[in-house]
Amino acid sequence: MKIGSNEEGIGTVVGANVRLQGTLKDTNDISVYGTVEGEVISDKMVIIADTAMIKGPVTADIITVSGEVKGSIEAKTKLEILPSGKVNGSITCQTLIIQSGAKLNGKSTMAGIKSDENVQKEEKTETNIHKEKDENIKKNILDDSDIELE
Amino acid sequence: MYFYIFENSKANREKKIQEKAKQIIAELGISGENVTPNPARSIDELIDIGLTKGFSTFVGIGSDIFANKIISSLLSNKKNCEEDKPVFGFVPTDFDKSQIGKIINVTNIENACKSLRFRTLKTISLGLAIPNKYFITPLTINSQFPFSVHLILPNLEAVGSATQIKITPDINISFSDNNLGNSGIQKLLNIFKGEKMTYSEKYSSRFTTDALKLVCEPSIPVNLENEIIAKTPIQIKRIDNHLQIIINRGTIAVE
Repeated sequence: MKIGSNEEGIGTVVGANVRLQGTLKDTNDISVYGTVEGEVISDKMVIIADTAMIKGPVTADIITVSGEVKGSIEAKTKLEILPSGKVNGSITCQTLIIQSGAKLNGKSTMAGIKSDENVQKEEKTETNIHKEKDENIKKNILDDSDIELE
Repeated sequence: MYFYIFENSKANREKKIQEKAKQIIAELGISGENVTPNPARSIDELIDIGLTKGFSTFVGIGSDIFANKIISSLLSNKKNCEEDKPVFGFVPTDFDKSQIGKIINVTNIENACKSLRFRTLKTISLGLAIPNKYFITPLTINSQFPFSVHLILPNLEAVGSATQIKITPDINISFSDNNLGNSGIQKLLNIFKGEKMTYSEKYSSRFTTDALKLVCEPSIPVNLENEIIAKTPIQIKRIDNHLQIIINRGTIAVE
């Protein structure tokens, strides 16, 4: 990357010799080669290079990790963890690619697919709704009918 | 009527261009008052005279640094009314090197003068080195030896090292440490590892913001073109839609 280049999509770059504290937010791509203590948010892509270390949540449309992340990762479209990538934290994404050698230590949630816990909760809720309906039907029959059941 | 401010230049080439500009301006029927700063009358004083006389369009003929001085003086002058923003026009005397020439898309003296005649205006944002140095071309900081950089933005702070820094008028700051990753051994390592990116690119950083404070250790001069305008620490912010500038007709100005 040349200094002062106005190429679209490059957005923010954190060099390998830079340590950053705070919230790093950009509508364009963010490339991290250095250390970030705080949140990283992009509307497009976040590239975490092999020299990078991020302590904090990362949110973007597409995230590529070849460095280290201690915090949650939320990728709206795709998350790719490259062989040198290390993630300690929960991940949420639609498409997940973990290459051989990558390390992931945390909970994974795939967007658009219900987890087992959520499915069980929904099944219980549906069962309760059906039970209520049945009881209401029985009540209505008993109320409306003048015929005594033998 | 236009208030023309000619740069006091001793170079023959630039004097010829200025004379040519006067001739074309007269032919186009847009003559006005011509002034040249000198030890007796500074740019600030000339601007003050122009505003007092009721001029609202100020045209600089000279180098980019000269244009920056006129703009800075114009916008800092207290006689400026917030509602009626002054208009700035520019005729570069070096079309190849002029960055402002590229912004207003003028490539030669003829179309530069004609653009003044057609008066197509564009309101642009520019940078302000607090308290009163406006700039329309980038600020630069250069050093042979690396210095520490402490960059304070609205939501974050960054600490690193650099040998060169560039800050554009829309407050896009980029800095790099060219001493890192450029040794012969590291380049060889690069080849053996098969890495596409050079080490020096890894040590480049870039941020875009509305305002920043830059602290360097040791304190280092900040340049606008080839002139020192301040020393770090320095506070800079973007002033949106603050200057009306005459651009070449039928073009889109690059802000």
